[in-house]
Amino acid sequence: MSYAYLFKYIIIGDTGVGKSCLLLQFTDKRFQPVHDLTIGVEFGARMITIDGKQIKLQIWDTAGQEAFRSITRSYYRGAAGALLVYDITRRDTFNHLTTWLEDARQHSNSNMVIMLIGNKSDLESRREVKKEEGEAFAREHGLVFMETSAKTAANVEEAFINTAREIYEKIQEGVFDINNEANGIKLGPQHLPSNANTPSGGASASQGGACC
Amino acid sequence: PEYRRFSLDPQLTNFETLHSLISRAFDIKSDFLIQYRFEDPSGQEIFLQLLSDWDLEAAFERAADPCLCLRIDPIPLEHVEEWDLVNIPLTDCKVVQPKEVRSDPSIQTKIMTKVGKTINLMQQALNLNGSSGEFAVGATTSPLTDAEFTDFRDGVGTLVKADECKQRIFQGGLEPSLRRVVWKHLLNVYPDGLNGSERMKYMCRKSEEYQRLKSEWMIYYKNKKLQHITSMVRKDVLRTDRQHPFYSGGDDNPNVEKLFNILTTYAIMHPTTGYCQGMSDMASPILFVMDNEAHSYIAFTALMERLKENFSITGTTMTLKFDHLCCAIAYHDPVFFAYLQRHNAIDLLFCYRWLLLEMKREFAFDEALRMLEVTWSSLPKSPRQDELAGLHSALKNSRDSQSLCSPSWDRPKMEPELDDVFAPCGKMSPNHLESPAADPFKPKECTESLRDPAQANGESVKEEVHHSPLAASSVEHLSSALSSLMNSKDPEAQSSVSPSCPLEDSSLQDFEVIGSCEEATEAAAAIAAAVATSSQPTTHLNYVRSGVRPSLPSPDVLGCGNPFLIFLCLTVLLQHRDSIINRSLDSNEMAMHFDRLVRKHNLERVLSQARTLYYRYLGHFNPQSS
Repeated sequence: MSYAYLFKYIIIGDTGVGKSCLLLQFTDKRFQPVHDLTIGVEFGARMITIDGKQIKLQIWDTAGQEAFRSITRSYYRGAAGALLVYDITRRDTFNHLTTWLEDARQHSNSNMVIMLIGNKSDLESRREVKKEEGEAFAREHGLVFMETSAKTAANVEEAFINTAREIYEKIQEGVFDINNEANGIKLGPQHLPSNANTPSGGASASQGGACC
Repeated sequence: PEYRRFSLDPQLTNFETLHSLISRAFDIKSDFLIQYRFEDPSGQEIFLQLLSDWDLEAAFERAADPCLCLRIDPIPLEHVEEWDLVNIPLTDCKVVQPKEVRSDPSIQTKIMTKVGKTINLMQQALNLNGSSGEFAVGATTSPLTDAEFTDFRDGVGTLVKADECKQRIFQGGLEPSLRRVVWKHLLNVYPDGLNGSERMKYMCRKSEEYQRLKSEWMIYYKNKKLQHITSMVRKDVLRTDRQHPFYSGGDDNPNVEKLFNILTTYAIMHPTTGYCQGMSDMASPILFVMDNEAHSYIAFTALMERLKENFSITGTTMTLKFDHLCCAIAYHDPVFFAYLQRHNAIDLLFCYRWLLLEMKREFAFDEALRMLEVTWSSLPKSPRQDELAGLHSALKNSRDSQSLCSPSWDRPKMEPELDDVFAPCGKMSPNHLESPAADPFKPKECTESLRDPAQANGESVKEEVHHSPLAASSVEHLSSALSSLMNSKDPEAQSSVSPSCPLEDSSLQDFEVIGSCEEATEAAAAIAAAVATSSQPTTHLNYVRSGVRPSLPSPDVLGCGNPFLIFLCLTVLLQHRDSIINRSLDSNEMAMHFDRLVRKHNLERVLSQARTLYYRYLGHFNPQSS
């Protein structure tokens, strides 16, 4: 299927916070209570529409454990968006956010859009992290924040799509160099400018948009 | 009581065989006690315990009847294992269901064994003759049977033909009922040369040790630092192989709990390795096969001796394995290599799980068991050979030997937070938990932990010296097997004359085309370019630039101790390369393609081709050239 843009995402966060389940809910619209634990990196993809344009999301779902950090790091660089996930029922997963954020900022391109996700919002009775705390953390670090439930699908679509929208807006503003694939953004095959020497940035982005 | 009657050959039957025979005959899942009937001089009938090959021999001798009468009593307590019986007075054993077995010594078993062997030889011969067929050499034979296994052991149950046995398993795997026994051999659980009863004693001792270790850490379950480990392990065992009946159902499935205990004990006892995700995948089949927590811990620990480097935080070993796989693709399929390179997929990161878990998750659970035993049977013997002496002395004075454990016991500080785990409880320092001398399973850890310079240096040197010659010897057994398959008398000659090798087929020709076929030359140029720009270690790819005939790393290097794994991975890639190229999948699509195939690969297809490629590699490999 053709697309105007392809965005690469990475999902990061402690082990067991529900990264793979978020991805499965987003790509397959289903919840699997017992999910194989992720080894290394797994992948998912889905097409979404923003501003009437087809955008393909290619998502890298990473293993949460420290031992895999060396492999997950190699994925940061090629990502346009990151979903940084914690579990609202486990305080420690929230406490580790700073480490994750530092790691992501250090190894990614500076324009990467990061969305903070407090997952498992369906487990209100076991909540250990208040919504306000998540919001405060996001404000402090300039992230977008949302609470989701991979189980009930609450806010899952929104989390992925809002991130895409933000990337899209950055493209419109000319922040992203879309000719550099290392930024995690690719123009769709038929949208590639015919002239290989097209000047970079917003100009070619609006060209790409214009032919849709 | 139920009765069964069967025939045994006293010359061929050892205790282990009898044990598994009875457990199958009565379909006993738990452990049981075997006693034999004996009339004492006063004519009174008594039952004596049968615990070893030694006892069995005595039983055969004393059996006055034309038949030997055995009484089988299941042991109802789950945690009481067969080796515990040594210490349990007979009167304490609860007799639940007395059963009697009559057995006539007969030649039937013997005949069956011989027939089985002949059939096996014939199959090998047929495979050889059919080598024009695509994967004939690597084709699977029937699984190793109980009777055949007996043939690999001597009268007292010592595995005397280990190499032949492994070769046989490499071709056909094991009958499921044999796994419990043979996996321990394959995983190098035992020091070399132990006979049946010594092995039992060994397992008994190790199991007691395990129970002790476990009960000790369980006291400190609530300790915060310990909780760091337990919470990680808990989360993972709850999502490991849960689709398999053995682990399915509620989270309180006792097998899930056992898996948790094994992994937690391992992590605590091996603080430099700790717990890493992926370990649960490796422990799970072992627990399923052993169906015994302590045995599984021992076997898992033995497996981890080889695999722990996979889980090291530096990732050096994994990087090397990627490098080797990359190299193997370039060697066997330059066109596909160039394709991967064009699609920025040459980092092969989508193979990460394959290499880390040694393909375990790529096959359905029951097939993975077969894949694992076949892989393990191809492995070099681990450097535990010389430990028999150590074991004997340990058996003799197992308490004294703890004095070996120096008071200045000190671990490398790779995980400092773990060093503090036991700090609050001065009574239980780690050296109480694990005395190196009492645990010959971890020679390396012993050397790491022992700060007695003489001991430590001596040990570590020994280990380094061991590594390559042993690896080479294992290769020797497979390459000699190969040469016998190919009717050659001289394996050396065989390996150096590849063009006249009778195994020529399309994939073999791939080796030869480099430098001649235009497409391949292009591909080679691409490889060279990749090598020039790659940040990965490039040593193995240098051949491309030098224009010399490609060579793979030698068997003692390839796959960092598991060369066959590289061929398993390569096979899966080759079997999908057409569909990848035709649909021109990029690296993420490739990853998704293979993620969808988790637990769905066809084992038989993969194994036959991988074995063929591996045999060919061993045959072509010429130690002199590298």
